[in-house]
Amino acid sequence: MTAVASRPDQGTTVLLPTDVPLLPPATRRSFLRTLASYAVLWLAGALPVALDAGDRTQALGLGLALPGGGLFHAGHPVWGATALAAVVLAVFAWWAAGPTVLPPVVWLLTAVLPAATLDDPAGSAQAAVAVLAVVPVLTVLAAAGHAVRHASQRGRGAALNRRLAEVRFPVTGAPSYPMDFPVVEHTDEDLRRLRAALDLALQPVEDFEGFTHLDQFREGALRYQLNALGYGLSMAQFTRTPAFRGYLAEAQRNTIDKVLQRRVWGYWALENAWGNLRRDKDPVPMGGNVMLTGFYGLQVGMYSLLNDERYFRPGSLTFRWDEDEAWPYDLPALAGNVRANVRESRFGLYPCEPNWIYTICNTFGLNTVLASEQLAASGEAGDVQERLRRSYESEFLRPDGRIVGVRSSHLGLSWNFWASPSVQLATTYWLHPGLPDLAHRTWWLIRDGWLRVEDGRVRTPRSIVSRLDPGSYKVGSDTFTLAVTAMAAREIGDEETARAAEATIAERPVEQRYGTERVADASGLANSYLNLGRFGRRSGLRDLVAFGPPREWRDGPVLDEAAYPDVLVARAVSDGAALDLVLAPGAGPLRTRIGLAQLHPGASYDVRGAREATVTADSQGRAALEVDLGGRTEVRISPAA
Amino acid sequence: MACCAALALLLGLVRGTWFRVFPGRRPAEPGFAPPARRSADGTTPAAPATTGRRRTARPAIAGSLLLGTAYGAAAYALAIAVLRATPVVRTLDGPWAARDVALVVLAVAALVAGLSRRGPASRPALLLGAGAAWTELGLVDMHLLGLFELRVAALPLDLLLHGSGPLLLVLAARRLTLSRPTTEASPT
Repeated sequence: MTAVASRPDQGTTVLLPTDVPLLPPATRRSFLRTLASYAVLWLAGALPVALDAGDRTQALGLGLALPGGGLFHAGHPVWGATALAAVVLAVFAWWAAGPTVLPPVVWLLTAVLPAATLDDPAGSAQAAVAVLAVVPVLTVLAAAGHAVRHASQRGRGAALNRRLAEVRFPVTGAPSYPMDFPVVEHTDEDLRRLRAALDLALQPVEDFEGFTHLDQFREGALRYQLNALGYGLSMAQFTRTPAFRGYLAEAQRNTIDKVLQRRVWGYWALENAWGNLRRDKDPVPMGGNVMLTGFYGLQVGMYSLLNDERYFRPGSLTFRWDEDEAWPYDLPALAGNVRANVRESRFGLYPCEPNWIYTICNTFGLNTVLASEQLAASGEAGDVQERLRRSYESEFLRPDGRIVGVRSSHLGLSWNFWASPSVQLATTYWLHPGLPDLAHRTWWLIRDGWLRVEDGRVRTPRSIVSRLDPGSYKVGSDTFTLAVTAMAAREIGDEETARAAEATIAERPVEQRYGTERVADASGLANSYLNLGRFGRRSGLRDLVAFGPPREWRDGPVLDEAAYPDVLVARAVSDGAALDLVLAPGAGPLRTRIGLAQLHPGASYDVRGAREATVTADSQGRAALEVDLGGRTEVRISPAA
Repeated sequence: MACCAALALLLGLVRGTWFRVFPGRRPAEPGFAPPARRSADGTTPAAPATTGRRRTARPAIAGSLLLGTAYGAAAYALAIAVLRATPVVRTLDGPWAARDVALVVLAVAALVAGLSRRGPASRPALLLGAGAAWTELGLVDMHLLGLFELRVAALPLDLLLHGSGPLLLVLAARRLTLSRPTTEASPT
């Protein structure tokens, strides 16, 4: 378990905005455009009825005014309902995988086919009026319902603000070295969990054994598994072994290289075609795909902050479609794409799948910008941060403090259940580096009304939402929710809840194989997020992404080579001059060599815990040691006195 | 997340049905990767040499044909029952009771016989059985027994109804011609 840092807190009061309008500006614009577009369809249905055009023309028009309208009008309610269900299903598919063309095409077909094929498409005038009234009436009812809910949420928001005014959130500022950079030792269980992740990551780049293979569009896609795997490995390095590169850095690079495989990112060609009607396959586009660029940029950024800057070289992240088509990028280019997209979007936040803006995805975009900024300052990160803050506090916030999880950029619509606590939990964690005050407030709201800690265990509501594992689409276990709870709680500094979540998960069965361990009946995604929470610490993500590791860690001596799984590295830290290691055998006792790097070229070092008592660095600043590993072994390399 | 849950349920249902029809296509549960190895200098030790090849079990063609017949008959019965509830189909007088009993007997017998055969399912054989059942049952119902007729768009819907069976047969034939040898490397 990671020790909690003891830096002084900057107490901050964070109230809910009191001026969230019924329809925020960008949302209102999209919504009015939607209404205007529907008005055209409605007129196409009303005019043939008003002008007493032919029966087939009326059937066509009524089918345009309401999916299945022509069938309802002609007295075929079952077929009408089927047509309506088909359009709803098409909208569902649009949301799931982005085919923007599908709903209008299905709607058009459900209007044209009955008009063309019904033997007797005639219907009564009353039925026509009823069909024409459905959508306007539902729209008015929905607007009224929204207004009532909004007023109620404003009331709740005002009540919450009275309590929030009394709360001082301990937002952490820039960390000081060394006191705010605790490095703890992996436990045996930590090492078993880490080994499961290392085995996944260290297999050949083109291999994906042990990964979930479902679809490449939604949460079960390979890219999210790779991102989460990389985050967990990076966090383990940050809080346990910042001075170990070797196979740990290679594993992170492998996850980065795997994302560049076409099978991982090639989904975008399809989504861009059927969602944006563009044939461009470039996966780093304007106007969308933050679900790749944001998630991936953060993964590359975390590696770069901890290890080296190879992904800053132009073309170091090349997405190759085939022999002829490739798109060369690097981390600054990914961050630049996010910045440009935020600037161009009238919502501030911009879409993942074509049209669909997710608040959670955009937190990754912000984190990509922040991570890149640590190593290659653009000077624009503050602007991005402010634009996103405005958007999170207006377009994507309910007056009662709930974050709106998704909004259609075309229609302006959202779904209420996408403001569920599960969305808030994940957003709390990923929002913390860039907008820590909002993350603290969101966590406070979660703890205030949704998450219960009783007898050292976390009780999540018995709802389908909290019992979904998005990594496998299986419903029935809250392991994923508990994993995200542990992540968010630890990052925010609510160690009691983090420990309770972990204690709850510890009661679940585990699987062990080849010295590795994972939680059984949980997806790979859930297991990677469990690692991220396990290896996290208070403000761990914020310190790494928003401020970066201390120079002493980046420039000081490092353990650069070790055999795997023969040598498990439980702790590795440098103070800029000396190197402290805790090693353990992973495959039985052995004598092995380890390689050091970033020593002062030609300098002599005293050694404790290895077979050599002293070692001299070569002209490259490298040296090798022999170590007898019979059990937990401490090794210290320090400049010769 | 509720929409995710709805999508997850839908995906779960579709996947469950798919793997019941094609049990051999069910992927292994994800979990552990093969143990990785790195030497002290960061290189990957050579993988153990492959010492043999093994032959995978032969797919149960007859069992798959019978299962395909059962699935095809069930799908056909369901489709016709739904269609009869709509204005598209006009139900005519005829030996419906005998036809229903015969259909159930056929489907159950084919299912039981198919499940009793051991071995992995053959997808082409499943398609072949389903396509044949669909086509034959449609022809018997409409043109031999004269149990129902199509009321609207008769020609295109007739083509669609009777054509979907042969389409499955064509797909099955295509897959049969693309069959590969069934040997694969076996790790030591």
